[in-house]
Amino acid sequence: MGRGSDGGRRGGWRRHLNAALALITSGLVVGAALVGSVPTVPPLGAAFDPLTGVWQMTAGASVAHSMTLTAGVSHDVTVSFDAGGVPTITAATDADAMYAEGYVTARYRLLEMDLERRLGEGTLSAVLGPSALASDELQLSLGLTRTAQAEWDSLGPSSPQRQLLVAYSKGVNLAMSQMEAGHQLPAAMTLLDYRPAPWTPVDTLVVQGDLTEELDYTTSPADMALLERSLGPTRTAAWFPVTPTTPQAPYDPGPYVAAPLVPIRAVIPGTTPTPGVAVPPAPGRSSVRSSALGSGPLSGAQRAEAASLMGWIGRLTTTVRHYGASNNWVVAPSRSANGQALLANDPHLPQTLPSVWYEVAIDTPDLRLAGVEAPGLPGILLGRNDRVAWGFTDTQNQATLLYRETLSASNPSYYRWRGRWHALRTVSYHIAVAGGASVNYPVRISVHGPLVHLPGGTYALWWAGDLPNQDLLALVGLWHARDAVQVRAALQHWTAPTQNIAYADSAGHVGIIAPGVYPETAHGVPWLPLSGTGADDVVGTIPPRAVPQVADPAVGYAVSANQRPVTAAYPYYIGTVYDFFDPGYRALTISSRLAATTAATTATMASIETDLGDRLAVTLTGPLVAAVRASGAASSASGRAALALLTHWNGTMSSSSGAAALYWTWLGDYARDVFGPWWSATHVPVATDANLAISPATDAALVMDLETWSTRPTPGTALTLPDGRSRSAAAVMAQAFTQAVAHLTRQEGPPVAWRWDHLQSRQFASLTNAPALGYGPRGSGGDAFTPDAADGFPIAGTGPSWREIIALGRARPGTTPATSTGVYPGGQSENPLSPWYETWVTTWWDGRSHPLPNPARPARPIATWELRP
Amino acid sequence: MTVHAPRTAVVTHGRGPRYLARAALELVGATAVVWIALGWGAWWVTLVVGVVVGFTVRRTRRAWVVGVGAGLLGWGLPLAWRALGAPVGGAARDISSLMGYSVAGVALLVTLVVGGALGACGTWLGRAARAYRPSRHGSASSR
Repeated sequence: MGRGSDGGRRGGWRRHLNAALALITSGLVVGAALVGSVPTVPPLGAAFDPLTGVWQMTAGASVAHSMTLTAGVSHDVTVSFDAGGVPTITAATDADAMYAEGYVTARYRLLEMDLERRLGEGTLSAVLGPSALASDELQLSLGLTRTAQAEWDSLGPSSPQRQLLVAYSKGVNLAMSQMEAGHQLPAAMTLLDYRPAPWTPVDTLVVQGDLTEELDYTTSPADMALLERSLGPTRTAAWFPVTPTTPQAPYDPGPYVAAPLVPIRAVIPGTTPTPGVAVPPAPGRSSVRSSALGSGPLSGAQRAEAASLMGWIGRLTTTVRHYGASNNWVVAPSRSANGQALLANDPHLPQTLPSVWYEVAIDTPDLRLAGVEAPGLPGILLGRNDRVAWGFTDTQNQATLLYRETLSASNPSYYRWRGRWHALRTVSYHIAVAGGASVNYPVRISVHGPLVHLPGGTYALWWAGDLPNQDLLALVGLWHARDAVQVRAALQHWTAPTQNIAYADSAGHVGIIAPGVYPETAHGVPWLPLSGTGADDVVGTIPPRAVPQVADPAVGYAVSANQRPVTAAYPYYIGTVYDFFDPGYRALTISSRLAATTAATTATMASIETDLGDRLAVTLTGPLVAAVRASGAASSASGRAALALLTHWNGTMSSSSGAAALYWTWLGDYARDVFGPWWSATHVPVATDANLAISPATDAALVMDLETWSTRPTPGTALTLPDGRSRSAAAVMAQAFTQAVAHLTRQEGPPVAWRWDHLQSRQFASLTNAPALGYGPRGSGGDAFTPDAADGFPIAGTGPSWREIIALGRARPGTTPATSTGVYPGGQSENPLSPWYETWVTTWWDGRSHPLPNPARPARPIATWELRP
Repeated sequence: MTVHAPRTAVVTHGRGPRYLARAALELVGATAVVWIALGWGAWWVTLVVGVVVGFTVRRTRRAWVVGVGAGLLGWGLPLAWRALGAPVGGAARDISSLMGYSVAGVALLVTLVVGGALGACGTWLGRAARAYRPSRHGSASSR
């Protein structure tokens, strides 16, 4: 560096050294400013430019109260925002409405949309770096993009879906180009140093695939195989049964239609079999060794293989679901206070900021919609038009099958199927990785689906979500439906994920139907890995007229809450208690609440949506109290105080409840005391497969076992220890009580200080994982079995992601028409500085909601945008 | 006949009001150029301004003050201006959090460091180049 004086001459070497150091240092600084060190450090110059870099998020947070822009619409479109940022789009055509919807959604949710498509398309690594590579490889193997492309290719040029998809994409791209030109792309994109690629209709279909994956892609066949291998077939069958042994409230109690299966017309891309040959090009014995998921105890190597499988198959931990929780129900006019039909729906999905939902209203000559869209998908997914309303819960039937393939020893590109050798199809991908070398990733596909290669075997995944579907056509039909008949007709097009779709119309008809594909095999045990030889192939699906359903139920209401929707008499296989129906406690609670009222109102519906009653707690508390009293386990002062809490408790998991804290702690101890000895003795590979851990909050089968074994004598239970010693349920319950009291006393102090919200909280995490951009953790009520579900202990990240209550039809004379409402815990904008970022978090938390916009009579807007041709 | 003051006198008088006024003028001008360029996304102009300042300003200390100061002020003042009507503090918190830091000042610090570093590097380069400028006597000078 130069000296402090301009005078004097330096020696030549010092001058050269100074110049060299200046050049080197400047080179480093400019390098950091120019290219950064993606993905950990962005190009600092552009990223932190105070006028065009990340600081522009302050400009992006402001609301343009009036704006007119030229867009690719055919007629003028008006977008009016209410105080909460909910847009009402008024357009002359449906396509124009979708264009505007794409535009406003991208303006407020571009990062979320882009991450969703990247997730499904396996391109997260390109922006997040090597940490996302495993996710990308799984997604490319599963093939959401292949399926989306096939769906797009199947749409004729004049199909309404194509027009809507194109219009929506154009709207997104207009917003994207404006945001880029105005340096208002989301700050996270700037920090990650990328510009989003133009949106395409295939992107939309991939995002739809993401939702399907989240709802019905499971690892259950592999889990069950590991359980069977450890516990043995008999115990596995008894403790993880196909049909539940506990009281259930199916919405479709029968009688059932035993109609022949119908073929699944859609073909998973890439699974069309290649011509078979009697002898593969280079004949040889099968290279497949004894499978890691075969029978007998797991060896160390096999455990490693199984871990590898689970590691691969469950890479997307946030999307692999084993346990779901959503509620919807309908009340017929005969059971409502004012004669209107009522519908409630609260899908329990990851609660994030921004939300998985974006609220919108649309008004065209053909459409009058209000509800929520999944950002990236046109129209609305949940909500209403002026004549009908609908809501979804996940059916949770088994939609993923695992096939064990036999590859040729000499030529592993051939697999054995139906007695002949067939060449595997290969799709090659090139995965770009930010900050790392790109990866070539080939996906090989058999007739059953994409392959999973392991040292000990090769498996193929058959997943209903890989079937090209016409779900969008079904949704378009829903949007336009005028009555229940048209609703049911529209849903004939639904493929996956199978959903319990509750509906109501303005004439007072209500019902629930679960359309979609239910894979049926002619042979084999579908909840375990199946043979890839062809014998166990999927042979069809349940015919639409025989899927679970109820229309205008005699009792005047119908409830779905992920419970098994049918009784054991249902003539088709739809899944087991492990894969992956809810134990049914929420359905029982909601059903009993509805049965208790003959004059339901929207307030009744809201109180049920926020009900913190735990049906299992109600069932188990009595036997627990009796067991503790009989055993003398409550002889200490804290024991007596704890017992007193339970004695006067009604099973409500409220925030302040000490009994709730004790009960949940006890339930965990009880489950571990009952099952732990068996898990240890038989080496259930919990470390290999975290899904197999003893957790009452996530394993429906185990809690149902506990309920059954605690309330009635049952042979062959885990209460009998592996060494043959028998235990009574009461003794283990009392033992767990002592443990729970000691545990809570250590952690929380005396029983008077116990509160459930000291143990349980909810968190609405930011999609970016930035702590300051999330909400919580905040102590809360609820658990996995309460209608107001808190899925996840001790921090619930999943719960009611949207609560809607809709009233339809005319109110009886002299009564007041009900107001339809909705709320999600978040806000319309993904920009944390926006006034619409956390708008409704407190509203949601307090159990309140806001009126759904009425497209015909929009509220006084605080901002109006005009889109002109 | 023009009488030139001895160099020592210039140094003495250079820290007076005229010296400061000239330095301030140079600083304001350089800062303005940086600010305007940032509005176009031309963050690299900060380096160029530093080079120009380092090369043309005769006094070394003043060159450093002006070059680095233009980087700091050119990057900091737009934020201050923005803060008059927008939640820059909230933005700092959110940007820092996105970067993985819980301290809101990190984003602000990084911004100023980038501006200051570009200005400093430019100045240094300018001074280094100035050392190769032919002197009045025909040889390279550090002036």
